[in-house]
Amino acid sequence: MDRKHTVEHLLLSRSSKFQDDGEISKLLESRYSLTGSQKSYLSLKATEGTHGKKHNQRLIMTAIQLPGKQNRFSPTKTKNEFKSFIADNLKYQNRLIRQLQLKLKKDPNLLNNLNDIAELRICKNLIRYEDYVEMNRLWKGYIQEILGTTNHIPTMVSKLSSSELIGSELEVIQSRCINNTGTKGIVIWESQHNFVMVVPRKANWKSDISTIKPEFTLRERIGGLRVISKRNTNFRLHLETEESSITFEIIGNRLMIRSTDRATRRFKNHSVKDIDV
Amino acid sequence: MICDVNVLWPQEDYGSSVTASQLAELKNRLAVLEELGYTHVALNFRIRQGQRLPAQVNPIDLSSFSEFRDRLKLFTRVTLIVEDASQMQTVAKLQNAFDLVAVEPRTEKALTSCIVNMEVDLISLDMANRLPCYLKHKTVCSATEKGVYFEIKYSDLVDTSSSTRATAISNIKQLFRASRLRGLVCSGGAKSAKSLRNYSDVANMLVLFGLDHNRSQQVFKDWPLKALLAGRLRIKSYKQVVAISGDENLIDNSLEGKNRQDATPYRHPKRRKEDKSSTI
Repeated sequence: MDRKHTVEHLLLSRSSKFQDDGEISKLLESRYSLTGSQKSYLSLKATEGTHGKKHNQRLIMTAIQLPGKQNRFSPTKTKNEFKSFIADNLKYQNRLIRQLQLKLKKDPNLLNNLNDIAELRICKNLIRYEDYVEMNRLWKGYIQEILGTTNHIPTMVSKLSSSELIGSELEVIQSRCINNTGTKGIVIWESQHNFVMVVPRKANWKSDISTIKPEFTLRERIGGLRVISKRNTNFRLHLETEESSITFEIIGNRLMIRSTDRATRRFKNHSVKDIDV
Repeated sequence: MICDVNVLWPQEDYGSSVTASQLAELKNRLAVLEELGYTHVALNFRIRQGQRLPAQVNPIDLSSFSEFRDRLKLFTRVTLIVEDASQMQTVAKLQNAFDLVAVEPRTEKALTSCIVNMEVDLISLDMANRLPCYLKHKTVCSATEKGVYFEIKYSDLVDTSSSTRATAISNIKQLFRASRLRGLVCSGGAKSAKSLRNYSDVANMLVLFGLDHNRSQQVFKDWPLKALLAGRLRIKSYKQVVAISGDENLIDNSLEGKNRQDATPYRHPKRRKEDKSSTI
């Protein structure tokens, strides 16, 4: 008996089809010989189907997650995906400004007759403020639920300090970074040190000026994402209910805690050295 | 923004009331202050410890100074004279009624317990007399670290006898030494209009006592504003995190009601509502 085929031999011996060992060894010999009545090898040929698109393949790859790859650097992790979303969009916005500057050099009247810059073809991937208005509406419902019907302002203020701010519409009223002052938008993410906002196109403090026609910079014209540091920055939050409208002021220096910790945190008064008047 | 956080209110305790002549004299003082270039002024109500507090804790009615509305920013301040360190519960009641809360400790124990236990904005030592104790750097700077400011009154140097002036100068120098020139506030505290001085004159005098030029300005400008901010935020914010927004900045008190002891110190929404209805 061939020593190589012990396993096959054992298996075939169990079968009722073969009576004795001679038959089995004969079969095995013929099965694995290069000449004789062996079965033909299975050969694979390329079929004539369509070649799958590259991104389809990538989609499949992301859907199948290999168990070894799931660490904190994995690009498929939600946190990392969100991070790259913000980074990519900021990069895209900067590139867009440069592209627009070049285009304006060639054709200075490019933007003059344009009502909305998002109509341009190169701007079609911009993050639009309008898509996030719904988020703000949801947040308004949430905050109304939290505040309830209280008219007692100290309790309102304390509840607001431990509530979620993602989805709220904030305005920077004071900041040591003067470029940030006047920025107004819907918060889509809050980290320990920053707010990530979506800013409308061509609508900030300048549009409130009535005496002169305001001139917007390209950055203001395209709007999109802004990352605004909480340090040395005060935000204004405007709440409207049926009966009243109240304006709150959020002091960024005291809010530099992650929002998960903020919900349970007991705040304390500190020295006001770091707060600007 | 130049501050004088100590303009004496004529009342001495809750029992007495302000006469018309006293009020006129106070307005006279305010007019002089405005002429001297001050912008932020706090009216100082001095009370002794152990008095029974009435329902209306704050006797100062800022609405009677309506003629100063656009000229001066007026605030209210209380100075509690503390002699017994064990009885300090009254401070909590005063905190929400006044913009600034100051204490005047008369003993060493009172001074240390003021710094450690109480939430006050200013510590005003009586410079005209001997200090209650030798000021230690550790005590004074721990207060500065917490954001409590020490007050120097220039009225102790003007308009007094030469012996008190000598005591005041030595006391001020001692405070300078102990505080390492940090966390100081200079204010008037004058009883009459004629002993008020321009801030730059006083700043020059402080330079003479050993303060450097930059800080001699800060003593009138930045630091009292910080003290005011701390006091204002205690009233209008939740632990300095979220505040009710006034019209101007964080220390603005123009929208506040007269009686601040009631549950809603701020009635901000009302005005906006009126605006809205008028446009409709």
